[in-house]
Amino acid sequence: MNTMSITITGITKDFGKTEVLKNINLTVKEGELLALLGPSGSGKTTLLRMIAGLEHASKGEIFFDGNNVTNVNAKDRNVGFVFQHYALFSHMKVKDNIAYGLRVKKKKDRPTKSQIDSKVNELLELVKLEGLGERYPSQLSGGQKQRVALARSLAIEPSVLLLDEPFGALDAQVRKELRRWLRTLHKQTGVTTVFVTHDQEEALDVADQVIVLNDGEIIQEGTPSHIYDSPNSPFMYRFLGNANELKGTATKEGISIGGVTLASGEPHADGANVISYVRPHEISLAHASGNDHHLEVEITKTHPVGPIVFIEAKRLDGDRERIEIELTKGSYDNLSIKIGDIMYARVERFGTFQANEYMI
Amino acid sequence: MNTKTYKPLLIFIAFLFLTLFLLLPLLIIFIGAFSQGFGVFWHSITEPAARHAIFLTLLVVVVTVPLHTLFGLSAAWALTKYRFRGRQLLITLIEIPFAVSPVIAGLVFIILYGVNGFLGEWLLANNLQIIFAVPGIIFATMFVTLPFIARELIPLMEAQGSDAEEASLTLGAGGFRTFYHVTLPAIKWGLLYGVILCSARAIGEFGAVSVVSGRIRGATNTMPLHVEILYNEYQFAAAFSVALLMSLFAIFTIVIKQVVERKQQLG
Repeated sequence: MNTMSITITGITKDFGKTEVLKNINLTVKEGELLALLGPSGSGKTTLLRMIAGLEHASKGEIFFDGNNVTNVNAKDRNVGFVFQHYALFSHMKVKDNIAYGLRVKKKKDRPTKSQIDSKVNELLELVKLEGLGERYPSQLSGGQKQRVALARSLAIEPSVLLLDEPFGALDAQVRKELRRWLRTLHKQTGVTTVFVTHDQEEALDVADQVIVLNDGEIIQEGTPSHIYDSPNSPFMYRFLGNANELKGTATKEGISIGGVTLASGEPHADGANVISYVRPHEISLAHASGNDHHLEVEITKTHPVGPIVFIEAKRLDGDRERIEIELTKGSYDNLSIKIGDIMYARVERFGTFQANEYMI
Repeated sequence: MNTKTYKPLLIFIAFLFLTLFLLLPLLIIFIGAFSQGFGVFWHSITEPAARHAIFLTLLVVVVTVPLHTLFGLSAAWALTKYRFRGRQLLITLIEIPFAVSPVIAGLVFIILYGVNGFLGEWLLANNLQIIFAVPGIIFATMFVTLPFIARELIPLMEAQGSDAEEASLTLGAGGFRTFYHVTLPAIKWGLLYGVILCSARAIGEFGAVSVVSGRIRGATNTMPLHVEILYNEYQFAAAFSVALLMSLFAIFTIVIKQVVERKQQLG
């Protein structure tokens, strides 16, 4: 399969007065599986539709393998596009849906009938829907429909494959299955793939590279582990799941929070107001105060869910703020935690950012 | 009070109205048509003036309905697949013929194209006659039947969105192929339903046509006008005979409409 890299330079899009994309630059390497992750309204779908040629940029250019495709019509871009709500042709059988892209080719490029048939069978096998070619889309489950949509988009041997919230309309179980399967499929086909999602877990699970968008701007990009381990902003901490916000002050020794000083790798101006973000599972608890940096807390709520126990505690220092802690069932049982216990919370990892007075 | 108490009452009211205002008149038409025997009925619908009225009515349908199919498809496509300034205004404008009295519609065409109208002198100079001629009848019918197909398609295409069309586009199909292979199959029953309603109205339109036609027997008389003329001439059996023929057209379209509606729900 002749797959291509995608390069986007200076893409800006405005709908009237609202700018939905602001000077976006990015590269998707040949054969890469990239996630565009962001909350709704972040511009991620608009960007994806632009790569497909379904939407046009106000400014900027798009290249496939170095060829400028900015002004190439969607029908001539040779991209595979998968929609959130499948967009199957409901009056056509599954096999005719898959064959569509081949049948509408110009006569000189069109494969013969038997070539089309064997291609369709090959694709049905690839998406694990052998024997369902004669069905109509309405006779399939959501997961099956989305696999038909995928097979249909792969039939034209696209230069790039684009998926717009492909699992958004499916229930949790099917979604998990399909996203693992998408990874496998991507390994098999090797086609450059970009998918849009608002689900951070999905992006981190499936993609080689993740680009996080918010308000039409790229906030952070990198591998899933890089994104997860080193969020570069308060937005990233909030967006990638729960994080406790601890207000503090920068000192020469580190970050001072409620009388406890945490050693910080990053320099902050002495005396500056800062906020440290701590994920609930990156806090540990002990009954006795240790020798270093433990916040005194009172346990107010415990809520075991399967292998994880969600704990709420109240800080006993000046702020008396509520913090959330997640422990494994094992360590929770070992500590035999009860409501009302006074314990000491140790922050294992955190990220600190300058407190902005405009920040909510 | 329990809603069950109302059930027989509501059913009775529905049947009463249907009988009084629909079934009884239809029965009267039937009785009237055959009041002087089958021979008179047959003669009434086959004599030259009647034949011409039938021909003219069908001509109006054959011209009007395809044009409105074209208009309805274009308007619905433009209004549902694109977003532009004035979109809402256009949707409202399409419905004007529903609100305007057909007589007023007829008068508007007289003011525009009549001998003393805005374009009257130019038309006369070019030897074109619209008012009191077939073109006028077609224009008036076009006005009255304008909303039927477009209004049927707009909500349907709005609900379907443009995902399937966009999918077709990314798969390499151009605009026409996409329309033919993707859009048309998805809207065909809705379109046919609109065509049926449009045809029924085009056959039965009286008010607008009566203003612009001039009622020249054998020349500018459509079936509804022919019925009225016969009635005014006290040829009741003949009037009812042509009326029965029209009613049969109407019943035929309703039957097709039912079939189409069922298909639409299924498919």
